[in-house]
Formats: sequence, structure tokens, C-alpha cells
Amino acid sequence: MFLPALRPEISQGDIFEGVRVVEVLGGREEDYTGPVVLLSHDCEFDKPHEYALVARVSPLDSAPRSSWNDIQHGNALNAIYLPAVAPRPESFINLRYIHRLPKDELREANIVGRRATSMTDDGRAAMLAYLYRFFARALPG
Amino acid sequence: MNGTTAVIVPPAVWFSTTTASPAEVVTLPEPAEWQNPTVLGSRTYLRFRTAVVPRGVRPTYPPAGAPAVEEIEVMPQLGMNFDEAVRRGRLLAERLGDAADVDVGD
Repeated sequence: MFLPALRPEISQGDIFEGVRVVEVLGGREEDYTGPVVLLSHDCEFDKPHEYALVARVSPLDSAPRSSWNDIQHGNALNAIYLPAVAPRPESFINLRYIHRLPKDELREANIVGRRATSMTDDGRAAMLAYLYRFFARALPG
Repeated sequence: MNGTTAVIVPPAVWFSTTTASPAEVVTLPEPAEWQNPTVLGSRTYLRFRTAVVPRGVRPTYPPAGAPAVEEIEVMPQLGMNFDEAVRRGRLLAERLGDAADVDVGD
């Protein structure tokens, strides 16, 4: 699912560590700091507008233990399973937490070495299928 | 106070000022006992740890205020393991053409 080395440029499917997201939702401020995956397409990221879409990456053990097997086997609608890549443990992309983030935050994370991993083409294709399933409640194809 | 400094927060709960860690909490004896210098002098307080995060530690996960356990919606009839998701994702990308721009060649 992941390449042995980072892609040369920031790319869809890249995972960034230690990204801070602050949002005001219905008047309540929410603050998250942790790993995120870039959902926006490469050409979307290259466009001149300011923001990109990311989703939270959560450790598998933050989900109920009874769901771990379903996450690992692709049966959980809002979760995309990510195998462990040291030092990150087994994790999942939580599609219920998609955020808009300034691209500069990700560029800065890249510069300081917090761009952790890049997905293979297969990983990106799978992510597309899982995103489709999450929004359509149907299998693509 | 027998030389000991203490701050009473709510009744019967006492944050120790004698340790560096703010996570350390002691409970007070009942008022009648705690005013008794003999009991204070023995310092036989019950200690227990709390979930107070030391100020020097910046929490990263879970985020403040977020539930510690996420709700997961399982639907086996829409299950896709990784290989199946790759196959369907590539099919989807082919149908979308250049708009999806997933490299299908390898």
C-alpha cells in the first residue's frame, strides 16, 4: 500500500504526522493534532487555491476491538485500513473526519520532515474505491 | 499544618503541593481527623492517580474533547478487501478517465 520512499512531490495518499486542525463547528471549537492523509488529487493540490482536503488517520486500537477484524478486511464503511509502517501502528483513515486545511500547512510539514509515507498507485486506487463506497453506499464498478 | 502546605480544592480532595506532578492527588481524612495533628503528623494519606495531564505534555491523540473510541459502521455486504478495492478503484478510474488520473499502468 505504501511506497518504500516518498514521492518527489506532495501527492494524494501521502500521510503527514503531527498536523494540527482547528475548526469551529456549530460554535464549538475542535482541535486535533495527529496524522492525516491527503485526499485531494495531485492536480487539485497543484492548483493555486489555498486549501486541500485531508482525513484523520487513527490508530486501530482507538476503534472498538470488536470492529478491528472488519476494518482490517474492508467491511467498515467509514474506515480504510492502513497496515503498520514503523513507527506508526496499524491504523485506519477515518472518513468521518475530513477537514479542509491550508496547503501551506502540508508544505511546511513536508519541509520539516513530517511527510511520512506515500501510497502506491494501488493504494490510491483502493482509496478512491473506499471513498466512493463511503459516499455512495454502493460498490464502484 | 505541621509544616505542610496544602491547597483545598473541593471538600475532601486535596492536590498535593509537595510533589512536582500535578497528576498526584491525595484525599483528605475526614475533617475531624485531618485537624488532628497526630493524624497529620503520621501522613497516612490515601494516594491515587487521576487523568490530569501535566501541563508540560501536549496531548496529540485522542484530541481534546473527542471520544476515545470511534464509532465504526460495519456493512459486510459492501465489504471490499484491499485487492478488491484496487480492482474496483482502477475500474472506476478508467471510467472517469483523465478526471481521476490514477495511473493504471502498474
